Parts: sequence; structure tokens; C-alpha cells
Amino acid sequence: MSETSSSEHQHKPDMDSYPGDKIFGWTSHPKAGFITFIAMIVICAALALASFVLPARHEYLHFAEFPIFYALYGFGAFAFVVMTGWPLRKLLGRPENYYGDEEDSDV
Amino acid sequence: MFKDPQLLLSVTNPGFIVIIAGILAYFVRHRIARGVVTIGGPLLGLLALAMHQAQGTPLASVEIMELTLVLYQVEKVAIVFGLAFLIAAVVNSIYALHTKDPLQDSMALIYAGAAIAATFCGDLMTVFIFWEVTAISSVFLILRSGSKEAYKASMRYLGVQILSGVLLLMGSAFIMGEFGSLEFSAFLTDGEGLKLGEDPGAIFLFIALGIKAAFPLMHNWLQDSYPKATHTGAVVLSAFTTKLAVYALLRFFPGEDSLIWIGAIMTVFPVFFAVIENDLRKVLAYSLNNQVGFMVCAIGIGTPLALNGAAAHAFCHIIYKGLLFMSMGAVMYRTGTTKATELGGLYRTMPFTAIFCLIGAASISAFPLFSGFVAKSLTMSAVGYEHMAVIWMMLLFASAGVLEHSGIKIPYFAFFGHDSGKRPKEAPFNMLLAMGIAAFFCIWLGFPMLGGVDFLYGLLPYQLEAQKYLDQDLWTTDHVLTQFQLLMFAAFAFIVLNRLKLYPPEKRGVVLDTDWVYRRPVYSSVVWLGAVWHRLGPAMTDSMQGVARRVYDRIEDTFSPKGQLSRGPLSSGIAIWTSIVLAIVMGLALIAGP
Repeated sequence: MSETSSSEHQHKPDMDSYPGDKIFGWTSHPKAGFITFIAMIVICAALALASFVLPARHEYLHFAEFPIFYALYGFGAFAFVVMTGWPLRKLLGRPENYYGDEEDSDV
Repeated sequence: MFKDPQLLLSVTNPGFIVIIAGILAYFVRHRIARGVVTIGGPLLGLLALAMHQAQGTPLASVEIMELTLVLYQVEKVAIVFGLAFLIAAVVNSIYALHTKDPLQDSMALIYAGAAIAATFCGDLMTVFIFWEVTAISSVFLILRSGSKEAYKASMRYLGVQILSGVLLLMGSAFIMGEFGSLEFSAFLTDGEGLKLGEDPGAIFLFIALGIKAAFPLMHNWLQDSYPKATHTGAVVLSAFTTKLAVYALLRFFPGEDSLIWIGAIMTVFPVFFAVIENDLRKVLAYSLNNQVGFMVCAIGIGTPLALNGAAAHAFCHIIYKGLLFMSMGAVMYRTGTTKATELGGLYRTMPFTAIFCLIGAASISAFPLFSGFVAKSLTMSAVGYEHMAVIWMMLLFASAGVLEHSGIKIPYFAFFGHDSGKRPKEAPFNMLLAMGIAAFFCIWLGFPMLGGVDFLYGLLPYQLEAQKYLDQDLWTTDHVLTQFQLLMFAAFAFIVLNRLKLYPPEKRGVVLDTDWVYRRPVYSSVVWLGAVWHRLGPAMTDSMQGVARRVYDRIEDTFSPKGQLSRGPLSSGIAIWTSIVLAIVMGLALIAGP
């Protein structure tokens, strides 16, 4: 049968530091979100700039030769997918016991 | 032959070795000894594959009832899939070393072995036999999680899988009638596959493979069952069933036009479901659908570059998808859940699992220097070369979607995001080791100068095209830059939407999918009919008995040894009629299942 160890070997919640803090601790810093936001702006600006600096590329589909086509498409596609999540959830979301039993209840 | 183990190994289907190891594993009750069997079996299988005598000719075959079963035949493309299956079997066995369930260990290996055996056989009847073995053995991986909903899901899963097998058998019967043999060499000539509109039975084969590959509207068995499997079972399930179907499609239907659109739709629609799904293992199931879509689309295109793309994608996908399922399995094992609403901040105490998950996420997102990039690029380029603008746009859209659900959502909501307060212990060593091996492959196969890219491209069925693509297209500045642009701007969109609080928060609940049809209206109709029957029963008994008697007479007249089907040319249709009846029965069982 399924085995889990959910209740065993738990670290104490009140411990000050954890093994993962050394690598990922910065993600919990109050300013981490803002710093990541700025870093991404810099990275994306550099990537977009590179499209204009490098020689024009050849694509088998000509509309993709527009310098920042991939950047715009990536941003647009991602935003579209996420934004459709709002109406889709209203349309398709149901309570957990919709099918008459505790659907997906963890074991 | 049997006195020479080397010779014996060189003509033994590696899948048989894994199946035998699986059977043995059930009887070995000592955990460490069982571990030796479950890891040693697939390793021995790898050795057998490395020692195979020749390609393209039967290495082992038997005659049964006028049918030739080609039990072992190695083809170039089969090596790609078989090797990936064997690696996955080894890694999965390591991952499951901590479990104390001989039945599950046994079934996991039998399932893997059957998929491998089907990959390395040379006729449809042998494929059918192992097709069914994969169906039956894999059910246990869902059942063993022990919950009521897992039991119900496993029965629905079994019904769908058996239905696929029945259709495969029907298709085989037609092919037998048309070509007089079920050997691949009889109906697949010079790389040409079956033609849907021309070859009798091809449509049944196509639907059978479509069910296993989870084509749109036939897909929901996957999201229904995989997330309900055990934490190790889901990892095993993710590797074999759909990829076996992809392999079969590649062998039987390369260049089938309809697959282009089917595959493209497969890449796009799961993206929308994944964004609102709360269970992260179900998100991975949708992601699996999306990834298989790329392979199906490539098979439909059918050019050497595209078929290389399908094979390379399958190889890498088996490993990185397994890695993602392993990381979620570790979370499940330690916290008891994979619901995004109940997770977050696990990096604190599960940092290695988080790192491995991030490597899997980078690979599936096709970041340059990871395995997904070197594989998916082949398909994207093949579509571009054919100037299929709409399909290309759909696949590019799906590539951004992959980043959303597998690249960001999975690691972010499990290991980062809001702090759930959960502080579980890091995954057991064997789980970390398995994830580490898979993560190594994700990097090795994608990073230039490590030899992995050359190794992968060296495996592909069309060598000239693979080498040309590797030398001229893969690592160009344009290619790497545009891929980075696509992914980094998509990631930037996530950050912007999150900061603006426009990203839909995770909520508990279920998301309706096609299973709603048979779990709600169809099921309700059956219940209603049952109630009506119960009330009208006494009044209708006499008339129904008469009808039943006439039906029985008719069936006897048709199916009995002296019946119509045994007379003249119809006798060859027995298998077909049996298949139809069995299909109907299985269909009813499926509907009545919930």
C-alpha cells in the first residue's frame, strides 16, 4: 500500500535556519520580488537589444524574422494563458466532492 | 545456445529479462535482495541490448497456431525508445528502493518489461500481448495507493486500456486478412506506414494507439489515473504507456497528415487546464499530454528531421518527465499531498529535491543547455522547414505554456511561493540518487561538449539529417537567442502578472474535463434506466423473456460452432466479432464504473 512519511522526521518549525536557506534563502527576503523584477527587466532588455544588434536572421517563416518576435510572442502567449485561467476556473471549477467522493483526496 | 550465456543474451529481448526480474521481485521478501533484483533486471536488459546480434532481422521467433511471433527484432528507432525505457526502469527501481511493497515493485518491473518487449518485437500479435500486459500490470500502480477514488480510477483506467487493446486486436485481424501475416515486414515496407484511408484495419489501430497516446477527447484517463497512483507508481506510469504509443505511431503511421493537427491540438489544450489545476501531479499529467503532442505532431510531419525530433523528444521526455514526477513524489512522500494550496516554501528542508525539480523544469521548458532544447528544436525546425505557419505558431504557443505549468508552476508552488509552514525532512537517499541520475541525464544530454548531445543524435534513426542539424542549426546564435527570448519574456510575464495580482490564486476543487461526460450524464442515465427497469420489471418480465429467448437463439445461430460465423469465408471474422462484443462489454463496464 501507499507509504508516506508525512508525520515522521519533521523539522521543528521554530528553527531559525534550514539547510535550504544557504541556496534559496534569498527568495524569502522581503525585497526578493522587487530585485527579481528589476533583474528580469535588465535580462529581457539585453535579450531584446541583442536582436537589433546582431545581423538579421533567416527564418523559414518570414514573419518570425521581426527582431523581437519571439520575445513578444512569449510574453503574449504566457499572459494569455494565465488570464484565461480566470474565466476558465469559473466555467470548469467545481467543489472537491463534485463526483460524489473526496476526489483527489491524498492518501 | 543455452550453454553460451553470451549468445543467449544476444538473442533475448531485454523486455523478457525485465519481466522475469519483475516476477522474481514478488517472491523476494528481503528488501535489499529485492532491490538487487529490481535494479539488476533492467541493467541486465541494458547489457542484452548492447550485445544484440543484428538490426532489422528477427533474432528470436516462434510459430504458434500458424502465426509467426517475432519475439525479438532490433530496429534503429526501437533502440531510442528501448534504451530510454531501460534507463527509466533502472532509475525508477532506485527511486522505489525504500518501499516495502513487493507487489508494487513486481508490477512496476513487469509493466516496464512489457513496454520494452513490445518495443523490440516484430509482429502485431506480440505487440498486442505485451500491450495488454502493460495495461494489466500498470493498474496495480494505481490500486496500491489504497484509496477509494484510486480504486474507482484504476477500474476506469483498466477499461480504457483494455478497450485500446481490443481495438488493436481488431486492427490486427483486418491486417492479417489483407496481408496474410502480422509481421511488420509484411505490411511496413521501406519506412512506409499504414494508410488510414486505404489499409483495412488501419483505423482501428490508429484509434487504439490514439487512446494510449491520449489524443484529444481520449486523453482524460491519464489525468484521472496518474495523480491517484502511489508516489512511486506515478513516476513509473509517466515513462511507458504514452511513449509506447508514440513509438507505435512512429512505426505504423509516419507522415499521417491528421497527426499534425491532432498533435498540435494536444500541445495547446492541456496548457489551459494546467493553469487552473490545483493538484501538481495532475498538472504534470496535463503537461505529459502537451509534450506527447509535440511528438505526435512530428510523426505526422513525417520528414526524417521530424521523425528524429519525435524520437529525440521521447528519449529526453521520458527522463525529465520522470524527474518532475519523482520530485513531486518526494513531496507527496514527505508531506502527504501535492496540492498547491497546501504547499510552498519546501526549499527550506528539501533543497536537493528543489534543485532536481528545477533541473527537470528547465529541461521540459527547453532552456538552452538542457535536454529539452536539443530535442524539441528538431520538431520546431521541421515544422518551420515545411512552412506550416499555423502549426508552428501553435507549437510555439505551447512552448510558452510549458514554461507556465511545468517550468514555473510546479517548482514555484511546491518549493517557493507562500510559506506553507511545512518543514518535512529531505527525501530519502535513494530518491535523491534516482533524481540525481535523471538530473545528470537532463544536463548531459543538453550541454554541448559533454558528449551527451552527440550521443543522443547518434541514436536517432536518420543519421545524416541529425548530424547536419547538429552541425548547422542547433547551436547558432540566432537559435539560442530566440529561445532565450521566448522563455525569459514568458517568465517576465509571470513576474509582472504576479506583482499585479493577476495570476489566478490556487484554489481547492476539481476541474471538469471530458471525464465529466461519462461520470455525470452517462452515469446518471444508466442509474435512471436501472431505476425504470426495476419499476417496470414485473410487468415486462414475460415479454422480455421472449425477447431474450429470440436474442439467445440468434446469438447461438451466429456464434455457435455450427453458426454462421463458422461457415465459409466468415469463419475468419470470428476474431473481429469477438472483439466487437468484448469492446461493447468493456465500454459498458467503463460507463458503469463510476
